[in-house]
Amino acid sequence: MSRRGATLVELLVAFAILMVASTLATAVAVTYIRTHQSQKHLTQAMSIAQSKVEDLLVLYPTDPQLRGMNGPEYYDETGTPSDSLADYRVQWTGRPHDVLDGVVELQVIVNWTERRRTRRFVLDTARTGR
Amino acid sequence: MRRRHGLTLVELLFTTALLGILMTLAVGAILVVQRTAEESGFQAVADQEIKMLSDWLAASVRGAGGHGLEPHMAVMAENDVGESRADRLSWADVDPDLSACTLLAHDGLLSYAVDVDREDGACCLGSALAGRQAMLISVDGDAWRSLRMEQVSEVAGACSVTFAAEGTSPTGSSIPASGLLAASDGLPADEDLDGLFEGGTLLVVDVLRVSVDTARSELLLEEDRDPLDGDFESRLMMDRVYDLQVALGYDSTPRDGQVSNSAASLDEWLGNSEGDAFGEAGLAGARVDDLRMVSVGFVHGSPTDTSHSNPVRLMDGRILSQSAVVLRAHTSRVALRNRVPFQ
Repeated sequence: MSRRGATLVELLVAFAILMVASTLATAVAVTYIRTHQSQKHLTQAMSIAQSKVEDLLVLYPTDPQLRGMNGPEYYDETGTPSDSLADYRVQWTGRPHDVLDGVVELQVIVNWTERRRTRRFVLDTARTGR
Repeated sequence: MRRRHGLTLVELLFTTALLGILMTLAVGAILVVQRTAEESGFQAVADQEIKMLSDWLAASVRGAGGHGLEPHMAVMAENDVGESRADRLSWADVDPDLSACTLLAHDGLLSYAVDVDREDGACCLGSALAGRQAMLISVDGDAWRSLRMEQVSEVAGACSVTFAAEGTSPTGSSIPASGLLAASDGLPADEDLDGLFEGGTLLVVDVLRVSVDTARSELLLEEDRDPLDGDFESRLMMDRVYDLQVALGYDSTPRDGQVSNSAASLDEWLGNSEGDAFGEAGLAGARVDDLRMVSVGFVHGSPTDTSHSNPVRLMDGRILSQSAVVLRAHTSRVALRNRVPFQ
């Protein structure tokens, strides 16, 4: 049997396969990291929306903030209110429930930008008129 | 027939160099991505833990008070405890299985006769309740204090309770000079206690407290699990917590049903920015019973292999920065639910 080394072409093909495999592995890891980053933003947005709902629960039933579109308010990545155009933009709407007297339907919308794309979390809830 | 051969020296050197460069790039990239993914995983777990913790805390605090105890009496925030400037939050829940007792004539500074059931002559408080925390509220509701019941005596149809000395009660007392509620008129000085609660109400409560041990970076839950020893036992809730900040929201100036929040002194939050003071700026004219909301924030860290550090500041706490730790802050606000019946 004839014994010989690998040709240059064979080696280059092997490198190419290695690079493709490495690229795929890296792509999977990068996707994982991006998913986590998205999850982090979503968790923070949920928290901000929940806190906003708590703010709305304190209001008197006649408060204009419980009618129509309100906001925007801005919050930074720690959930602290900010005057500037910070990471999270919050708007909310309120309208009387169609059937239940004294119940206000609330919708809190949180927007943020992630890799140049606008993302959104919407929290729907209701409060009684007390 | 064509001659078959292996690589020449030049080809071998070329391919080795190429392999070296490619492998260095590939392995380097994989290592960086792997490390980032691992750190990302730590942070994801930490985020979930913080969210769960925050949800639990919010659910607990929003239900503070009730059963005759107004929320502003049931919640206490201590500001800048120790050099770390971390805060401490305490709140009380009334034991719903026990009815309120009336504090009759006082006998000494910390001893009161309490009422008995008119039908069977039994003491309003059973002796088994000795060691539990009680909330004392004056007749006019302007003063309150939580104290530990040291002794409950039932003798010949008479019933009395003696309270432990100061220092054991987390709410309504032992507030440092810089305490958030130091200006409260609901917290009389010790010398004014004599007879203050005569004719008032006693409620048996469970008191919980969260704080941060900044030396160990641990978030602790303290509660009196064993009433007989009179001490609060600490339980670890979460490690790698570097700061806990608490702010109290008042509907005060004006009393319009809103608790304005701009993270500055002019808003209606106490403790969410440096320089906040009760009765000043946005809280001018505020009363303790204007309390409507509580805000709680944590700073949590996840390990990283790099010497990376990211400064984080929460509310009026200090600026935190830890080498090889990625810091994350999380804040949530809750409205106190049990205030409505008292408006």
